[in-house]
Amino acid sequence: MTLSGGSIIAIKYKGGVMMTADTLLSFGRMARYRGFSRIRSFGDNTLISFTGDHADFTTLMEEMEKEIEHDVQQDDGVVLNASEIHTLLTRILYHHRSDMKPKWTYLIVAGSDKDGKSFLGYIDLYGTHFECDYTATGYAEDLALPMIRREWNPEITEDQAAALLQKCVKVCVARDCKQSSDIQFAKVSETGTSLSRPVKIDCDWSVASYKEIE
Amino acid sequence: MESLKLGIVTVGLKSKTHVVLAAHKRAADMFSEHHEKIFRVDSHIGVSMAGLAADGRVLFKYLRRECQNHIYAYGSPHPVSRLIVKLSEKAQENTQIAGRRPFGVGLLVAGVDKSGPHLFQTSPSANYTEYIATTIGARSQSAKTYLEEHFMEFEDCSVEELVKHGVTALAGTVKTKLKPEEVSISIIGLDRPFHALSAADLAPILGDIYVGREEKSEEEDSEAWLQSEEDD
Amino acid sequence: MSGIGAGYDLSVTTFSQEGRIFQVEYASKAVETRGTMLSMRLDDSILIATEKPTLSKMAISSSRRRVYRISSHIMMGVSGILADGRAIVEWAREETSRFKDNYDRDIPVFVLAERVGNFMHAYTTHPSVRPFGTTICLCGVTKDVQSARASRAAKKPDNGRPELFQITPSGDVNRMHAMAVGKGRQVARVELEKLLPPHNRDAFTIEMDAQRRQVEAARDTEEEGEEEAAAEKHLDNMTLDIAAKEAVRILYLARDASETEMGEIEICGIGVGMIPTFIPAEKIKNLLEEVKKEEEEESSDDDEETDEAELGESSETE
Repeated sequence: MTLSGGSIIAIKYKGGVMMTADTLLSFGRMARYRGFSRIRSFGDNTLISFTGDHADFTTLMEEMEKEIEHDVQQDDGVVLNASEIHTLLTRILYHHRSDMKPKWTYLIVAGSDKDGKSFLGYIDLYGTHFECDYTATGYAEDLALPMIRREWNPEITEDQAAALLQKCVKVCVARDCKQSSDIQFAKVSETGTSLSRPVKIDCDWSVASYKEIE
Repeated sequence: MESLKLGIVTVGLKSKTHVVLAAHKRAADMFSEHHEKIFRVDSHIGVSMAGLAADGRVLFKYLRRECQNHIYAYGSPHPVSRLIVKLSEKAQENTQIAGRRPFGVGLLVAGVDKSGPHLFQTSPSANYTEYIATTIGARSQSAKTYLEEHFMEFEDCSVEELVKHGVTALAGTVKTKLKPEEVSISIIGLDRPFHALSAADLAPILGDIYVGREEKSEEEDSEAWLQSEEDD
Repeated sequence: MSGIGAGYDLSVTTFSQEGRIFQVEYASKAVETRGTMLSMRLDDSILIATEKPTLSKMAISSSRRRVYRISSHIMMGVSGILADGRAIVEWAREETSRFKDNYDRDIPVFVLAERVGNFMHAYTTHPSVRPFGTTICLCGVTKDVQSARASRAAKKPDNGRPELFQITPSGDVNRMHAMAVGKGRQVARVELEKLLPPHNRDAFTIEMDAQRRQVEAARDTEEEGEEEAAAEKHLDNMTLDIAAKEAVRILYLARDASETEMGEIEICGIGVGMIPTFIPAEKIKNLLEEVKKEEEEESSDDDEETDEAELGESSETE
């Protein structure tokens, strides 16, 4: 048994990308570590988050840190953007799975270029990858995606995006036993990345009781 | 370093938006075709070489491979400056290890990336320098003189003007009149990938250049296209 | 040249009868005949200044740097053969990343200096390679037990201490307070010596440094006024800006007077809480103008002085 992270939900909005993940590391179905930030920011324009094995994710991120450090060392103004990091990760994950040693992670890479073009990409442990306007991993793939499909449009504002994610997370907290209600939001836009402090999702558990049913 | 002075003249120059390579190509003997002098490394990078062509091809293939690897790994074109760093690392090893000899070739590497157009010159000593305009090859001095006089204007040049400057610099290095099929021009722009100009494209440009010089060159002047240009 | 080595200078694996290895000495010669490079270690920062020949007015000079970033806390100046220097730079960058990967902390500068020294030395021991034709100036900020001790004494947070090393083609590693190599090194060394802090003209050790800081910290709090009055410009009380001007002055004095025009100056600084940063060319140009004017004013007092090479001496004696 290993430590693993749960769902991620990410959507593009007008001017950037927003994603959300809970702050829990599970050991099997046990809620093992709370208050762990599963979203990482790279350079000033990329966010990466994971579902799945924590150790594999850490190893992959060390690789990425090296790439970023390489850009710092060269000091020539060339810096990897989110799309390049996404491609590199797809190659690495595909390589490992072809080696029969997959890195057991589902990754979501979000970023924004200086010219305001946003990027959102998905990769799984088999090396499957695509770019998209909104995506989710883990249980949220089933729970949140249908809701996003119904409500999302390319002109959605930052506030609307936050509200939509909040709504999705609420459903996940209610339905997914491994979802924690301590949620972190992160966004990336032209101006850079920002990660929120963990916030508590307000859940009304009275609906789960038999009290109301007469 | 001397091998840089061998070979045929190549001129490189860049503006804010484009970088142009211009080379004089000469047939090795009367039965062979004109040697192509400018090579496409990738859609955003071209090189021309002076010196030992065989060595140049080794480096050229290396550059191509690196560009392909970069596209595979990162999904984006290779930044030009990074490519030059890799090239010089490779060249440096050959200057230090016994049993190897330095690459006897100098390259002009022209490319466009996120930070704009670039023009680099590399040498067998593994040094490299970025230029606004430069030239390599035999008898390149007159081209250099021309470029040094005009390079201040290049930044705001249109691509047509840039090509004209390149060809003019090149024309100064040969005694005879350049024929369109003797000149090879490649252009890379921010908005357009690597492409070469055809002889048909070049004819009017050469015509323009030679108009003012008619009196100077009293040599054979049988080019019909040139005549027609002058009549205009 | 062949007369000096008498056959002993063809390989690094052959000692001469006097016990010298000529190839290594020739490598040092490659450094001595090229542009001047100097470095000064200040109280909490270091700068490297170099003079490089102008290649062509069409060249973009930032593509021929002499100072390279190794990581955000280390930079390296290369004198002599640039291509050789860059090979070392690349190796040092890899080594720095490797260290970080293994130990999850920034490599201490003295550790990297030692390793670069070993790397360069290896090239003096095999017949299949030639030594590097470059003297390395390696500097950066080290955070370790020593810096922790020093900052505790000064009652300041530990942000690390600046370290400067000179590494020669033979692989020698020396901890320096200031250094100068290249064509104008003699003049530059004389000038740098004048900038050495009074209590530190001789051998310099980390322990002494820590003690000195301790003493100074105590004195600073007691008698600030006295310190002010006695303040003479030296390495430990200069800011990076003042040192940059001083570096420009030294390079100006150490220039090759036979050349009509001075080469281009490049200055890069690193410090506690500051990643390697190049001083803009525009600013250096202004500094050079200032320095030229000041030096000319000083020399105009002395009518007899015509030889430009002696300009430095004359200005100092006044």
